[in-house]
Amino acid sequence: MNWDILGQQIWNGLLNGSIYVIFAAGLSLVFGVMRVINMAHGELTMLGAMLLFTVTSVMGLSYFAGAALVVVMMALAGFLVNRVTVRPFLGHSELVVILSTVALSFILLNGSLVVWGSTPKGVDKPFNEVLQVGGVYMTTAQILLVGVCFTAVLALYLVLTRTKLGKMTRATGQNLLGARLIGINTTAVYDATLIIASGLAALAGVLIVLISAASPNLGQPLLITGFAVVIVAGMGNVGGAVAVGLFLGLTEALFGQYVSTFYRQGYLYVVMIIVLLLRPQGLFGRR
Amino acid sequence: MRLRNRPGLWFGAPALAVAATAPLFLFTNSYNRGLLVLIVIYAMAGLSLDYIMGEMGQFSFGHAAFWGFGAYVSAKLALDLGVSPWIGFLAAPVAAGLVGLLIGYIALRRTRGLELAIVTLGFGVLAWTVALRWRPVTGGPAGLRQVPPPSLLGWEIRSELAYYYFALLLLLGVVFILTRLRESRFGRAVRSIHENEDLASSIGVPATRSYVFAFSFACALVGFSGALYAHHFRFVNPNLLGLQYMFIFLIVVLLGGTGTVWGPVLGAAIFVLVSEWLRALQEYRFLIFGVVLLMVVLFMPNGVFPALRRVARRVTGSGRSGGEEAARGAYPGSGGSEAG
Repeated sequence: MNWDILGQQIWNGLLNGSIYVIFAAGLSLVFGVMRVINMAHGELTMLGAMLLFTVTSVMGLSYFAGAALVVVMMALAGFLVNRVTVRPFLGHSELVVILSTVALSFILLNGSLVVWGSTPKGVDKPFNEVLQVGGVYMTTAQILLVGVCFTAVLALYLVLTRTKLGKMTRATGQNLLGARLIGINTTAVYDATLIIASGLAALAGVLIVLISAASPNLGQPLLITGFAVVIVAGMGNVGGAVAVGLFLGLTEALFGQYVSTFYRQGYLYVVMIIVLLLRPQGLFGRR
Repeated sequence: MRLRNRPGLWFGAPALAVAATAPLFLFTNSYNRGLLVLIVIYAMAGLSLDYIMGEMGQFSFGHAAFWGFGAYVSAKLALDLGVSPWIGFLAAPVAAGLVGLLIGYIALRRTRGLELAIVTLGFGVLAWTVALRWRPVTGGPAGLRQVPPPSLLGWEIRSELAYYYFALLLLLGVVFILTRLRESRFGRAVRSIHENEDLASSIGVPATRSYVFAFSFACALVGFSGALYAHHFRFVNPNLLGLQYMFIFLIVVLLGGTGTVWGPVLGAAIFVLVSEWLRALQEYRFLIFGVVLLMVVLFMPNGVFPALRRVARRVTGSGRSGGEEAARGAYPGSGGSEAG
C-alpha cells in the first residue's frame, strides 16, 4: 500500500467534499425550511463562478474582492429568486414550484451560454504555491478552499442555532402555521432562507474555481451530486448534509483510486440506493 | 360513466381531426412530419408520467430512464438478436414494467411526495451513468445506430408519414386504455389513495401495492414510447435516459395540465412546436424557452388544457363549475394528507 497515494486521495476527497458540503447545505436548508426543491441551485453556483471570472479577469478585481462582491450580489439575488420563482407559487403545489425553478435554471444556464460561451474559463488564483505535507501535495489555494468551507459551515451553524433569525427559521421549517401563529414573519424568513442559500451556492461557485475552471455547464452535475448528498443525509437535515457531503467526497475519491475510476460517478448513487433500501428516511432523518 | 367521459370530446374530436389531417397542410415535408412523430411519442411519454403525477399524485423524476431503457431493450433485441421490432414493441414495455416494479417497490414502500421525486431522480441518474459507461452493451456516449424500422407484411414503416399514422393509432389506443383504466376498479383505488392514503387503507385498499403496480404500469407505457422512438429515429444513446428528457416530459405534462388525459397530448404539441419555432433564435432559443415556461407557470399554473377547458365551458355554458376540479385535487400535495 502506497501511503502517499492514500493521503493524496484523502486530500482530494476533502476538497470535493468541501464543495459538496457548502452546496448541499444550501439545498437542504431550502428544502427543510420551505419544502421547496430548488432545481436552480446548481445554476446559482455556476453563476457565482462565471461572475467571479467576469469581475476578476475582465474588470480586474482581486480574487478576494471579486469573491466577496459576487457572494453578496448572489445573496441579494436570492431575494429575487424567492419573489419571482417561489413565492407566487406557494399556494399551488410543490410541483409548480419545481417547474418554475426548472424554468429559472433554463434561463440561467442558457443565458450564461449566450454571455460566456461553453468553453471553460480559468480564473487567476490569489496564491497558488505548491506545498508538500508528508507525501501529499497541496496548493495554498486548496487550503484556502477547505478553510473557507469550514468557516462557512461554522457560521451557518451559529446563525441557525444562536440567533433569533435562526430560531425563527427552524421554527418555520418545523411548523409553518405554528410559526405564523406565534407572530413570526414567515415571508421574511423565506426571503432570508433563499438569501442564505443563494449566498452559499455562490460561495461554492467562487470556491470551485480554485480547483477547476469556471464553465456554464458545471451546475447540473453538481445539482445531481447535491441531491444524492441530501437524500443520504435525510431530506432537509442541514447538519446531516454537512457530514454526508464530507464523507461522500472522501469515499468517492478513495473509490475512484482503489475500486474503479470508471464507475466513480456512479458511486454516489449506489451509496444512495443502499441507504434508501436500508434506511429510506436517510442516515440522519427522523420518522 | 358515459357522461363522465364526454367532457374530453370537445377537445378530443377536433384534436383528432387536426392530427389526422396535419400531414396534408403545413407538415408536408419529411422534416416537419418527423416533428409530428415526435409529438406523438412525447405525448405518450407525457401520458405515462401524468399517470404518476395526475392519478397517483406522486412524482417520478427518473421517468426518462425507463423511456431510454425501453428504447435500448427494443433496439438491442433487433440489432443483436435480429428479433423483429414487433417483438421489441412488446418486450420493451414488459422489461420497463418489471424494472419499474422493482424500483417502485423499493421507492414507494416508504417515500412519497418530494422525497420520492429525489429518490427517483437518483435512480434515473444512476441508470444514465451506467448506460454512459457500459460501452460494450450500450455503445457508450455514441450509442447504437441503424436500429431497423418495423415492417408490416414485407413493407417497412420507414417514411415519416407512415410512422406518424402508425404511432397516432397507438396513441389513440393508449388514450383509450388510460380513460378506461381511470374508471376501473383499480384506477379508482389508485385515485382514492391519492386523495387520502390513510382513509383508503382503512377501507381495505392495499395502498402501497396499488401504487407499485400503478408505477410499474406507467413505466411500461413510457418504455413502449421509448421503443417507438428507437425504431423511428433509428438510434439510441445514453442521453435518452438522462435529465434532458426528464425535463422535457415534465414540461409536457405540466404545460398541458396534470390529471387530464388530453393535457399531456396538448403539452407535447405545444412543446415540440414552440421549441421548433424558437429554433430561429439559435443560441437564444432555450433562454427564451425558459422565459416562456416561467410565464406559462405564472399565468396558467394548472397548465394550458384546464385553462382552455374553462374557456370552453364558459362559451358553451355547460353547467359543471370548477368545483369538481378543485375537489379532484389535480395536483400532488393539494389532495389530502399533508402529514408526510
